[in-house]
Amino acid sequence: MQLSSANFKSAARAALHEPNLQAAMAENRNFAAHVRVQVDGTANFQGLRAQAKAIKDHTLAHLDHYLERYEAAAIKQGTQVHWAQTPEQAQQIVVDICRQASARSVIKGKTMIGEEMGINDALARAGIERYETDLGEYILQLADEPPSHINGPAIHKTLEQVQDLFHEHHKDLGRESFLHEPAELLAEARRLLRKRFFEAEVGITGANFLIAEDGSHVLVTNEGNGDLTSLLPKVRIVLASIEKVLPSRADAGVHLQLLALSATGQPLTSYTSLYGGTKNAGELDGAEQCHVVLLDNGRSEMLAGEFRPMLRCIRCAACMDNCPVYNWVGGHAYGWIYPGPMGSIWTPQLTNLEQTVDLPNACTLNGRCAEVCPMQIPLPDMMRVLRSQHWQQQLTATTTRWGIGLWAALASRPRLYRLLTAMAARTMAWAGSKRGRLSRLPLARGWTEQRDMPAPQGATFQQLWQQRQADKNGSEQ
Amino acid sequence: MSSSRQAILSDVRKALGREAHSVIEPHPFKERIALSQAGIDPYQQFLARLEVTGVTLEALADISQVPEAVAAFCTRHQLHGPLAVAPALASLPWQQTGLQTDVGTAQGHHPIGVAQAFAGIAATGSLVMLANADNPAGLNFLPEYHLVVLDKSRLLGQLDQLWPLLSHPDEGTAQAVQLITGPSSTADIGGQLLYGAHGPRAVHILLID
Ligand code: SF4
Repeated sequence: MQLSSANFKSAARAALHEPNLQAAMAENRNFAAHVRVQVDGTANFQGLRAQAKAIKDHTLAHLDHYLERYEAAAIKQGTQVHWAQTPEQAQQIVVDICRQASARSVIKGKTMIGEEMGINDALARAGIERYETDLGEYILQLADEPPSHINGPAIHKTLEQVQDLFHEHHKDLGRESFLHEPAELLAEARRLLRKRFFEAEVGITGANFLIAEDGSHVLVTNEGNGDLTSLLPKVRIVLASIEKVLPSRADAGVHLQLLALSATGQPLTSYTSLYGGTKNAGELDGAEQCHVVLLDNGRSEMLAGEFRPMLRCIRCAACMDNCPVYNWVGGHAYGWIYPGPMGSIWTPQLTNLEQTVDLPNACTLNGRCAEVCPMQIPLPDMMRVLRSQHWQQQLTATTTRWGIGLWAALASRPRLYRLLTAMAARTMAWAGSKRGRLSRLPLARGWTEQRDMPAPQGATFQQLWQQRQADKNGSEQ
Repeated sequence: MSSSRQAILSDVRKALGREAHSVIEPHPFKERIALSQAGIDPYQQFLARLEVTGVTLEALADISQVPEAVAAFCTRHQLHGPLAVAPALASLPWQQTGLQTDVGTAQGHHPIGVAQAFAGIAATGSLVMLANADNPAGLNFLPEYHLVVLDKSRLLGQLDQLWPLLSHPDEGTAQAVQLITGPSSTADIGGQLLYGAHGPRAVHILLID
């Protein structure tokens, strides 16, 4: 997907005035609140969370070891493991496998790593037909749009929009009446996709975790499309990234419960499956070939520095579902596949700093994402690190630089600072003396458009502080 | 691409300041935390979870009653057409019911799949299905109605109790271990929760007491 994060501001502004999107986001806020109730009602959630973090920190600190163990165990199960440093390498690997399988069509489950590696375009260029099987992804394939959420890729689409899309795209298939009922739309999609499942030579899915102990990978869905994609075609391709590995099945168990709870409030998703290689002799279902692609794409570099905690991310989406920015502007404004707080860290790491300056700056630093993140990832701290990187690399917006420079000049001259702030406070107190509130402020129109500023009352903070210190010294004598 | 493999592993080691054969610190935990509620009978907890996930259950005194119960289920739901039955359950007295049974995996035209669970998990309300020659995985996903035979003695309290029961890691995992916690569902169409997305719209447990 083309990176367009540089347009964040204009895209966000447009999103706020898009009624369909606003209706959909209101729905997402309700859903997020429901999930929080489930999480808060889970007695040992905090214990689970602490353990999951410790397990992942241990794994990341020995990532080379666990990757090698995973690979050896996977090979033993008949899985072929492919390594890709870049998205381009990964694309090539997948296209080659499809060609070798003489694939005319592939069916695909939801995979964010697939989005990251641009697999859809690569398949199109290779002339291979692709059918998305996750219903959200299916809707987006009809609409020709990228996902706007990492779990519910089409949460930005309202029911009416889905009705229209199905009508437009399915009429060639002989349907005349307009379907209104969600259940009817679902039945239609199910019927159309069933055929594709049986036809496709190759099935492509993501992986939520890789297990070093037995070489299996874990797939989590509610629809069951991932399992059909894994089981029906002869060739299975699993797209994963190097940080998804965990030492054991028991470790995966801890993370799976945390993932389901944080993502949807379920104790486990409807289908949580561990796949270990190809089908055995005498088995009726399953793939004859199993390929796993391990993508790096900048992750090994993240391991070295301040962004290592981000590699703990289990893609539960709690951070975005609880973000006051994401929940109003939606995912597309962020301009790449990972939106919201986690995306504001992932995107600069996996693409570049220059075109993603707006992302960590869109954050209000209210801290809610870090509070809800089941993996205790310090997202706001990392936003600050990115902001200081912007400063060092002179990427900070000119007006901001100018403002910060001015403030720094003032702050390093305490007398002048005191004088000016006292003057400003007095002016504001005078201007707001009637109502006790200010409805307009110079240079802060955006802020006062939505709310009033309380007018300052009494002494300034510095005066109060001095008074307090003086009182304290007095009482000590 | 073995050169990519070398490059990635060496980048990872460089980032971590490790050598290829550096020592591994021991794993930080022996016991894993699992969702549970102290002091609640696992069976009661299982039933309570099924209420939430929308899975139904009926208890049978003996496994030989399964065909009869399946026939009654078909009548209740007005289901016609052949049943796909797991080879693990082939020896049950299906003939008595007059139902047409295909032993093996499910194909697209089977409205019902009857399979046998490896275990159940009370804390999460899950069925554990082991995909193998006796229990083909297609049974769990292709039919609209998924009927699962579960022996009550195989009901575990927590997820964590499952792992030691699976084959030793060195022998690998069965082609698939599937934890099923509710019918196939989606909320992708306008945010409404709907059952029967790609897999079964209903899951019904036949619990052998
Ligand atoms: S950053 Fe945390 S909350 Fe956000 S998706 Fe990742 S694990 Fe979930």
